[in-house]
Amino acid sequence: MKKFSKVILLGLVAAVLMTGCSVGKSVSADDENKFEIGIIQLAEHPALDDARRGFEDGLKELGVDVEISYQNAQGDLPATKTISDKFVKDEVDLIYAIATNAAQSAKQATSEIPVLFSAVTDPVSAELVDSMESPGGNVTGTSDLSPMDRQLQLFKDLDPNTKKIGIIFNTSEPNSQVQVELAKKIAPGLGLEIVDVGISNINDIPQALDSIVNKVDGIYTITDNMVASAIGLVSKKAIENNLITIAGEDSHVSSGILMTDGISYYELGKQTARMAKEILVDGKSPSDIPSEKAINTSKVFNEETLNSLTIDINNDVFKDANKID
Amino acid sequence: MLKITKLSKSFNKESDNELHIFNDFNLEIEENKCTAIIGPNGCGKSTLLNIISGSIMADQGEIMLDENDIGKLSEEKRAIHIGRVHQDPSMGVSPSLTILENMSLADKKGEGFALRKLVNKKRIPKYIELLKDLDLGLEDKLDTKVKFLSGGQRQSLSLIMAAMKFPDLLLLDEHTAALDPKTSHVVMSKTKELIDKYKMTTIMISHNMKDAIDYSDRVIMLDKGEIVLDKASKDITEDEIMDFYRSKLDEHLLQ
Amino acid sequence: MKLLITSLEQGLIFSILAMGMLITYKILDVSDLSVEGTFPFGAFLFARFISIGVNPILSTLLAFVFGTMAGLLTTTLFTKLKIRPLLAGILTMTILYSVNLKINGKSNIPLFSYRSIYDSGSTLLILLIIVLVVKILLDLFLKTETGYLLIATGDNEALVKSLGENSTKYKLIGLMIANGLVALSGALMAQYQGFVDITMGASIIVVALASIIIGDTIKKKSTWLKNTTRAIIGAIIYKIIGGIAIDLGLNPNDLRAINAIIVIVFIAYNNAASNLFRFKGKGGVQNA
Repeated sequence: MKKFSKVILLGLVAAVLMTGCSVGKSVSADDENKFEIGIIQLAEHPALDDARRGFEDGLKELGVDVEISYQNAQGDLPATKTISDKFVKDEVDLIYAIATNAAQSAKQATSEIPVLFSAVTDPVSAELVDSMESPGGNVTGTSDLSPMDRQLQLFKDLDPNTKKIGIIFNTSEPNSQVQVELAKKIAPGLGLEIVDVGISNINDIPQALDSIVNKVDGIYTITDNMVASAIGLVSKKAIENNLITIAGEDSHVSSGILMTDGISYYELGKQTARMAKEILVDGKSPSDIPSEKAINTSKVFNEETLNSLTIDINNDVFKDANKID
Repeated sequence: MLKITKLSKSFNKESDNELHIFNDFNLEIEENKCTAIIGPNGCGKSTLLNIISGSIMADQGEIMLDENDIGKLSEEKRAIHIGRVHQDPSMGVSPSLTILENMSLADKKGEGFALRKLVNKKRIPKYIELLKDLDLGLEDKLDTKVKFLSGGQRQSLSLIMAAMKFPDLLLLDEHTAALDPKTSHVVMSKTKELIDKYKMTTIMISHNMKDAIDYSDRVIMLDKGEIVLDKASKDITEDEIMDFYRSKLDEHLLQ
Repeated sequence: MKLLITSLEQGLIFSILAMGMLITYKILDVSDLSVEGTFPFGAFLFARFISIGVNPILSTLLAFVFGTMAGLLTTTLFTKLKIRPLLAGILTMTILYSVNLKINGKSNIPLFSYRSIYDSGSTLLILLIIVLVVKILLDLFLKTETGYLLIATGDNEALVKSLGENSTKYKLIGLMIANGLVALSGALMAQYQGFVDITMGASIIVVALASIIIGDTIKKKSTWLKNTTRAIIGAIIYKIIGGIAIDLGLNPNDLRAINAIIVIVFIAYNNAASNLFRFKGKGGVQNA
């Protein structure tokens, strides 16, 4: 018994010493021009994955030579701190943080290493930046705040009689609350009214849906991790009740939501890659790079849903829209 | 002195299975003496003990302990006046604590518990003296956790803990029934020594008629919630009790 | 080295959580699942107080004080309403979820612009001091009459009753102290990571139990005093191993599984070791 515990202790000590020397980031002659980037992603999720892939592909397209270290915190907040500290210890040239909590941990971990964030809806209220125009610090990046006004307008374009729009959201996600409040602010100006249902557990979605389908004329799906996981169900219930659905992001449309005029996380990632180039290659400081919202939005629609809802494809709305696969 | 007047208790009231245990039951237990209560299963001896200790509340009747009406008090309030040793050796002690800690706890009964250090080093000689009386060597094991003691050792400790603050009434609830014969004998004789030495008013429930006679001053037999035998221990023999018992049994069978 | 320090710091913060769970899970033998709500509760409370101008040390203490209320709620649920303790804890956790959102009106509160308890010096040193103070106070408490009755309550409620005391009173005391400590741990974590988030409590019960289990495998000579030390060591070891996993760049998908495996390995070792012990000592221990 004593022997066993000694072995474990030795094993621990060995492992600690090993990591102390940090074998992973050895610099060899031909690595000298490569930039080291630490990517910290909050959780496994299609939008976040897209933001990462877009970033990596964007850097490739821009010809920036990078060595990427990717860590996923699996939703564990203390892990985000450990990962951030690890990147700081490894002296990476840049940290790319995907999602609000990851970015907050990165900011807490360093005030010197440049930090780029993406998939953060409100960087200002998350206190990642002082303001979008002047970030003021070592942190800047791209916000996934969707052009909600354009999206909500689609309801009216498709059916001028639309009045009440239902929104389901996860009370645990800060970004979601932001979007719901924004929707409530914009809606009246478009002649719409928002009916929102907050849930805390994915198992509540069926009931939440049932409670609003009779009260609303359409459903708007915001960028919310929990809603994203249940998009199929949302779309199904909407079709059953003949409700128009508009999404805040294109991944929802692939899963059955009728349409969006929205952002692509992949493109957002590429947009952030451009900022990375400015920092790494052009030598700019993050405080001089304003945080950005998505530059490009695109209209995409789901043909199958369109047919199920018996909507006329000749409606002007679809003129510049693309079918999604 | 314990005085029970007009005690009534039934279970499963207002149902088809209503069971009347006691009806207008009266009993007086003398001070400083040990009274044994025996009887067949279901005669009510355990229920009686539980009613006295407060684990069960009587339907009607009065329970006076030395001029105090304890019938209305909760079990824990009564516990300050009453010491009880259960059949299960683990019920009277805290197994994960040491003998010293257990005795320190028992030592505080009735004095109130607060944010003071529990173990009082000055009392240790007293504890050792009490443990020595048991002749079990426990006085050398003050720092041993009680869970490592045998059943007999634990029961002896429970006895000391129950009696330490000289309760007005000591209840022994078949306290050697779970022990092997040899240990049972040891614990019983130690019990007698203790109650004789401190002249404790004791009620002892026993399933063993020989023990009842040998270790008590008075023997009471219950049957269906009534007293059917009440004699001084020196005035009756084991055989007489057995005959009486058998005749009662025949009565039941004939009914 | 830096990574070791981070793991150590997180281990110290969680050791307070573990010491809280020690009281409910180990001493009282009550499964209090409300911790998942109480941990962020402490964090949200801290955010509230610091945002209205209270200094960080006082804010942290207030988080402890108000955190005890969670224990009061759980105890009330299972004593007055006769709900099973397990369920009572879950109900408290559910209620706290809504309470947490209401305290500041948001589910995520950045703390970058506020002072923290770590400003006065080295974070590691400050945490070390806090943990030692908590441990010493807890150890002293467990040596008092009240403390012992708490232990007895978890051991044998019949004994507590026979001493003329109400065991419910001690369950209440235990649950209040435990939840206060969990909330304290949450407040310390919030200041450490720089923000408060409603998801902070997720899987926290695993960390707490893992710390206690790992702590139990360290050298079997046990007195109640050592239990607090064990909780601290267990939490630190758990975090260090997790930190090593991250540092080795292990597949991110396996991170959660690895944490679970750590616990399983220690439990298995625990069982194997005690079986060996029982086998060896069969002759000596059990005779009268």
